[in-house]
Amino acid sequence: MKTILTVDDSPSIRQMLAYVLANSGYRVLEAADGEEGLALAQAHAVDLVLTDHNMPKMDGVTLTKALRALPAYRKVPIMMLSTESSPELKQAGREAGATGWMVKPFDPDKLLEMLRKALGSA
Amino acid sequence: MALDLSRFAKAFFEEAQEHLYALESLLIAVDINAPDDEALNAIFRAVHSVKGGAAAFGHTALTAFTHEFESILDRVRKRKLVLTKRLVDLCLTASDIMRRHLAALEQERAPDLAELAGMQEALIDIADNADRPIAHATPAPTTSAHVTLTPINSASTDASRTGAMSPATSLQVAMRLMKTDYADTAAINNLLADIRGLGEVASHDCEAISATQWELRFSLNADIAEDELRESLEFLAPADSIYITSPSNAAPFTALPSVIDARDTEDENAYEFFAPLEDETGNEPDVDINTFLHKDLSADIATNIEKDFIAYEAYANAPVNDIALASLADASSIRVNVAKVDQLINLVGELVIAEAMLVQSAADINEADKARLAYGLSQLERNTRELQEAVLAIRMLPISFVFSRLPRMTRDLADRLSKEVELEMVGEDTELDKSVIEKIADPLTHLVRNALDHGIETPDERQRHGKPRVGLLSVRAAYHSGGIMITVADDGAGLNRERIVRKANELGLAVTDQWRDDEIWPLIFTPGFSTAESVSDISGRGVGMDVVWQNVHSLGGTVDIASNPGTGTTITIRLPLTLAILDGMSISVCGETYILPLAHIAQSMQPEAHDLKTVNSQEVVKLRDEYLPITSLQQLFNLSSVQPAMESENSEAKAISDLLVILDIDGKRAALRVDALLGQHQVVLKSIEANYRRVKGLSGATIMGDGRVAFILDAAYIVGVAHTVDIELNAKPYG
Repeated sequence: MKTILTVDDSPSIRQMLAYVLANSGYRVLEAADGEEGLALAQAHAVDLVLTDHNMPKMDGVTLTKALRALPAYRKVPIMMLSTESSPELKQAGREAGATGWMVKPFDPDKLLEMLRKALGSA
Repeated sequence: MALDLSRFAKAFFEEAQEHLYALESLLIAVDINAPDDEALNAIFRAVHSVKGGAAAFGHTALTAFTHEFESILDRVRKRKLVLTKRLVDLCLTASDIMRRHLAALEQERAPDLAELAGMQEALIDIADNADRPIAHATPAPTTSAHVTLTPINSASTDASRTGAMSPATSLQVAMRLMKTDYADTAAINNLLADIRGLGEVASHDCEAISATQWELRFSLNADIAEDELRESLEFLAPADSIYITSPSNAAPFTALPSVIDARDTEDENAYEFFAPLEDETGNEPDVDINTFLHKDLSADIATNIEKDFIAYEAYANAPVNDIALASLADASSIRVNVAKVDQLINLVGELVIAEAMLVQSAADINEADKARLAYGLSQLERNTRELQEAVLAIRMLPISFVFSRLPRMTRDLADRLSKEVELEMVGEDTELDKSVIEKIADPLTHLVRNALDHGIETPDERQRHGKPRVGLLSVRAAYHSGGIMITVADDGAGLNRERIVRKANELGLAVTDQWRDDEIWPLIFTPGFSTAESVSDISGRGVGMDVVWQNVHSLGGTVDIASNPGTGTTITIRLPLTLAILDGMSISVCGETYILPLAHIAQSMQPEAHDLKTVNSQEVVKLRDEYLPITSLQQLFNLSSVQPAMESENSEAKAISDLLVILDIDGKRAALRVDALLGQHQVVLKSIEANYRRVKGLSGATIMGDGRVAFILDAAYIVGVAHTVDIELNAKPYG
């Protein structure tokens, strides 16, 4: 069973993600901001990270950079999930080392499809 | 698979309201002259969070609105837009509108879209016309993201803007311009000048969307059809770089992002991968992410990360508005259904009664067994008490829940009345029972409105009296001798004695000028008593102060007024901490057991004969240097004086009329004649009103250890009756 770390400062978005992911057989870890996310990522073996960008304490792009600096997370898929799809932000995410981008509001089916692709055939 | 996500919609509404509440607090607290980054960031993020949720749950109008609102706040936090009082006022109104919109959505009513659209326009308008910091000298086109263009308010377009009528058509245009073609600001401004030849450019914006391209967006009001416009623009830029939409709502640019983005993403999917993923056999593809990542592992990136860490740590630890923080960072609390908590409290109450019954029975057992039993029972008693306290604590909430509405209300009201007021709130984390908070909220609000309306004078008048122009309104809460004390104090004009006496006489009350201040002030609690010259809609419809009195009294509390003409007024509310448990003293009168609240008992005494006197047919007793009126329950409740006090083993009962309990209600004292004092204990309060009806003189009932019911006496009522103030007068506020 793969473990997915969701990082978002909105509890309802986290709940929604957890609901969708858990129902599809993923184990879900939740963090409310980048700092918590980083801590959880270091404490557990995470297979994929889903992170929002605009959060307190540490935003998504910074989290991505921080994760990529860890040996364990050089290749783990990190998907940014955000309402903002401005090219600048995408560029920043890409440069920080994110694997890809997903726009909110997300379609649960699309999310799962994206996860399947990103995690390879599990 | 069709998963039902609607259950999360409710959580979104709650969250959104919290964000809006935080937004309001932040807006009120922010210092316009020197706004700090953390506050501006927090303001931005509050709106951003609402947008995220709105988008996630498909509330399109709200999403569009918050997108616009957020962009403006983004500019403010990046210091590209100056925060003025007008902008803050507008933002506050915007947050009100959002709150209403959310409430409508939550209750599945149709939200007021016109209101939303109107506010959106107002926000955009103020943002575009507001002062901007001057542009940097020569923006290098390839690095600066934002281009400062000719302000709209240039002379050529001014005339057309003033008194502008709604144009024939309003079109939103976005143009992708190559930086190679438009190397600097001047070039783009020239382009805009050309465009102005086609019509009125109502708003515009220009940003670098990539290393090689600008995106110029503007709104054109012109009597021109879309394809005509396109033809004209094609002289200025390649056809496939021009996107034109006519707005479906009044807000420009909201339709645009989706138009642009749909064309922009390589595939039309909801997601994209920056680089090809590893294929399924696990082999590394030719162009792999690692080439990106190796770049990131250099030392200076590491220091950048550290800098970001530090910056964010500073942000996290910065003292942002406390209220906002409390409402947003609620990780250490959970929401509990109130009914569950009430049930818990009931159960604990029953447990306490059962324990009391056991104690009673234990009194009859023999010595040896008795010791063991006594030990077990004392354990039980301790555990029960701790459980009780813990459960009651669940219901306790900080009074900040009530205080929180005051800053905004004060600000708005002071503005409306053209008064300058500083609101001081102390003791916001003082905790009270939830139901107490709910009942005290409106009275407190009313007292504050009163102070603003009638208490504090206009700045000019204050100045004439040698006072500072800014009035001070102080609201404080603190624990005080087993209860809570809440004061509302203003340094205003104070209560007007003559007016009150006159009004009381008008209402038919026999009040004279001879009365002391502390007898005159409580008159304002009489129903129908408003001395306001004209009834403003703010307060003073005469239904305010007596409701305050009722609410406080129904909570088992008291209200006191102190006032000095010219100096100000202080209103003090005292409330019990919890409603369910009472420390009581059992007394016996005519064979019946009653309970007196321990908090209001000053002492008990057996007076010497020479201390008892009769003055004006009122019996009094001398205590130290004071004469206190004496009353008895026989007198109050019309009890038949039955036989002398019943025999009991450990009876200290003397002859009737010799034992007095001195009651004290905030300094006002009276003596109550009792037959015997039976003991002190904690008593579970049961409501008579809920089970029968309200009875004057009683504040509740309880079940004693022997299973019988005992009434809990209302000490304030007894003291009031005992005093020389006319009983009729006293009766009115009690309703």
